[in-house]
Amino acid sequence: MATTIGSANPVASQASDTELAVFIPEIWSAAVRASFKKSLVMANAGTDFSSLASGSGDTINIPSVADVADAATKAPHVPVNYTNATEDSLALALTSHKYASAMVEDMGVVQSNSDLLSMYSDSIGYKLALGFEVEIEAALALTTECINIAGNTVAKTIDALTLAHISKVVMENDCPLSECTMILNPTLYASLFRIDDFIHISKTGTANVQNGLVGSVMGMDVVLSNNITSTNHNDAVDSADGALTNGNVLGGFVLHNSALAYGFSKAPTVSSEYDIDYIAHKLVGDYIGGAKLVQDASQTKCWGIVEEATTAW
Amino acid sequence: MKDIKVIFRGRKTPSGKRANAEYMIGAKKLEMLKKDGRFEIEVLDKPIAKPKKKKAPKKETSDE
Repeated sequence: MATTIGSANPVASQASDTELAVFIPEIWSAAVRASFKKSLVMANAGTDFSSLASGSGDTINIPSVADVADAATKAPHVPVNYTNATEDSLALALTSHKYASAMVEDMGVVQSNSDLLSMYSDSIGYKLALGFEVEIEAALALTTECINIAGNTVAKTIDALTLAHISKVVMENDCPLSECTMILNPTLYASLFRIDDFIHISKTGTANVQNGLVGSVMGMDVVLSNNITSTNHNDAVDSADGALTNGNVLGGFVLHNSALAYGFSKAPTVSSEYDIDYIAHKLVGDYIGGAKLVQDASQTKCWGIVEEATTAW
Repeated sequence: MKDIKVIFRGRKTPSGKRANAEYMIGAKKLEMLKKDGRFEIEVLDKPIAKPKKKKAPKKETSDE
């Protein structure tokens, strides 16, 4: 204890840093996440077939119908020709069962001033969505059709010339640009700002845009994703029919809105249970579903965007 | 490189291609389409592979 004579001895004062510290409470704010959520965008570009599997079943078969033969000239007195063809189908398997979980002991729940169970429940929901996003990305990466942007002036960018090339390839395959979505990684997306034709969504005044939608170019919606990590298919060819090196990491996708099919037998659900053995709340979220690239050689609907010899962006 | 001239016959044609019209496609693509097995492909013109030059046999060095 310090003593003092007179009024001019600051050492003897009762200060908040030491003497009065016990009276000053510390305040905890609401929790913040350790990492930001990555935007989940890919399912928005696909078609949800969940309603077909609401009763039972683990596979949804999607049939395709080839066009009939070309129009022919009808000659007098000659009967018309009939042709047939065995039609194809693609199967969407709903066999992927994934979960995310957390267990929070009572002491933490009771003594915390935050709603821990809500926070972990939210985190589980997000991780399930992210897990499904990864499945979708892996499905899209199975396309054997790629567009090589290696002709760009600056490496790892999409410039006006590259964009013209992408548009040409899509149009050559009879895909209306207005029905296509371009999903890009941040490097390629950022490079679009150099192009005058890119219309950022903030300039349009559009409200209620879907998650991740950031603009449009050549009539195609452009969305940004941080979840593109797959490499091109080993049998992939570029738009000049040249074989690509295995191991190029994809920079994005161009896909028609019918290119991706997905569905859930069990929609993402979070369940909770109190465990007496651990005196804790258990939270488990899971889903049963699947995603499929609905494409064959008859109709290309999805292209991977690669830059030859790029193994990291 | 698209250096093979083909025509697709029959009802099923590859993406973006019409039946009975000539197209140039690459060897890798042709291989993929043949592997697919659903297309009737008529190859009209294929670049002739240049004969490889035979290497001249190495002259053996004498021990002398």
